Amino acid sequence: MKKYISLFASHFSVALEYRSNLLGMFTLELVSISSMVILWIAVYRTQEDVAGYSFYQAIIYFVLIPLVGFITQVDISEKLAKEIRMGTFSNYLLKPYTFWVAAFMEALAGKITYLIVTFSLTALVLGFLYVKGYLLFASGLLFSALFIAILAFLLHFILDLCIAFWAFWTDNVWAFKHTKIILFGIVGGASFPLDFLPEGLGAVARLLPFQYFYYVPVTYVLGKSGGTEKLISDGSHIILWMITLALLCFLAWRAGLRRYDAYGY
Amino acid sequence: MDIKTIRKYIRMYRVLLTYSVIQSTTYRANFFWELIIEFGYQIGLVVFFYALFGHITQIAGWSYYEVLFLAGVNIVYGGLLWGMVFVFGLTRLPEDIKNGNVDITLLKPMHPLFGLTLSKPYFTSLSSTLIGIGVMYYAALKLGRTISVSDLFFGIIIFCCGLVIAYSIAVMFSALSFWFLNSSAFQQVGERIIDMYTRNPHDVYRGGLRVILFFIVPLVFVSSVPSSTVLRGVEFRYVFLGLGLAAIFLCAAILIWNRMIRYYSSASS
Repeated sequence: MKKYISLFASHFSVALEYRSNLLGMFTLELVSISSMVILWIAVYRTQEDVAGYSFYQAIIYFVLIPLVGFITQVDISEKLAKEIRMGTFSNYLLKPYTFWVAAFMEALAGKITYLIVTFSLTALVLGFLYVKGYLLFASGLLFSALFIAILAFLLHFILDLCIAFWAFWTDNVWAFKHTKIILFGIVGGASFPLDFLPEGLGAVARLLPFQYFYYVPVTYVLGKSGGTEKLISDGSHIILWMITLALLCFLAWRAGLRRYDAYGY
Repeated sequence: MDIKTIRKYIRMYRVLLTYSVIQSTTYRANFFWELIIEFGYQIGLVVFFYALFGHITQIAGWSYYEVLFLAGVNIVYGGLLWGMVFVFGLTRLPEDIKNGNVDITLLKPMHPLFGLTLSKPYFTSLSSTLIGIGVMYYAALKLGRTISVSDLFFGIIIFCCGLVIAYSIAVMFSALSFWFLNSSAFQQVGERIIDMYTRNPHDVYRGGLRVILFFIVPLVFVSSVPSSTVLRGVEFRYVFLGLGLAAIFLCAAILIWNRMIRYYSSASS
């Protein structure tokens, strides 16, 4: 375990290497949130309720989306795929550690610095809404949201590995990565709550795993989802998706390694 | 800059664009994949407004088809700006500065601003503008309004001014990468400001923010004001304001760029 902690520490220091990026990241989130808030202020000028969301619920939804996104986000597919394509993937195979755990440590360390930034901004806005009485925190719902978000992070990690392993067969995996991002926006809740979707498309979105990366955790905080039964149902859905994707990943890994060629310098 | 130099750059850009078309379409399967992904990204904004207007009837006085027309203009501007400036230009700048890859451009007989921001057009993004034109056409058809030639002409003029303004703002933010090493976040901030504040109809902005978005970061000239000009008729104060602001912002961007590039130090061995 010690070597994996060292790996985590090493990736964490790399993430902190250029600290001016953190300030930029803070501004980036501020820009997104402020633009969304302005749009929603305009929308709610003429009506009090949109698809069952009050003004403050809509604001909380869009303020929480970046934070939940940072918890569940994993972006290792393109880097790993490039390493497979270039042959530098051999470094992972020759070193005395398990590839999966090492890749997981890298994904975890990469997100912590950005999480600190996003959390501070979200806390600021939510704190203000809490003081004003527009947000009621229920610790049970918060823990449920966090539980689902952590499970979704693990699911996302496996999904990204699956995408990366396509590189054993194709030259580039960028198309899969971008398809994933587009789906997050439309059927994952990253651009708007799934309740806004027309019935048919909404039903399709609720069958797919993408809802767990953004929409579902936020609905727990808003109190739109809750209860042990719902938590168990969501948790078991995610675990089922994890098992399916892990199986695919494992098969791709075994078959891919047989095809893999490394070119030396 | 005289006419001869401008002609030289236009000729050069034509050659670079032809090269980009050949490069993009060499691997046809890959090109079609890229087009589908582009389409997916552009359609995201349309789906957002479609879903939202399932529950509301207007945003700040803009009906669904007016907002759809605005989304079409946004797709066109996005395709042009991403294709001409971002994908192979400004997005890669921080990394190029860190790795010392700017040297080769500085040695070429062209202005570094042109070389680093406009010399590598991405044809796939440029071709996605057709989707935007299709969305605009559909929305205009559904609105059933007669669009006059003069309104269309002035709408295009304001749109071009907006494009220059957005380019200048992106350059100003990206130029910070020369100062803060590997600060890709600053370049992304510019990108995000342009992306987020050009989507909304300008009537949603009120008070101080309206002043900011009309004069200080005048991004309403990119898609909202041109849309309103085409659909609701020209307001000449916007034409003059757009032209003036485009000139001021372009000059400011060149000045900031020239100042920031002095901080560049090569990193090659």
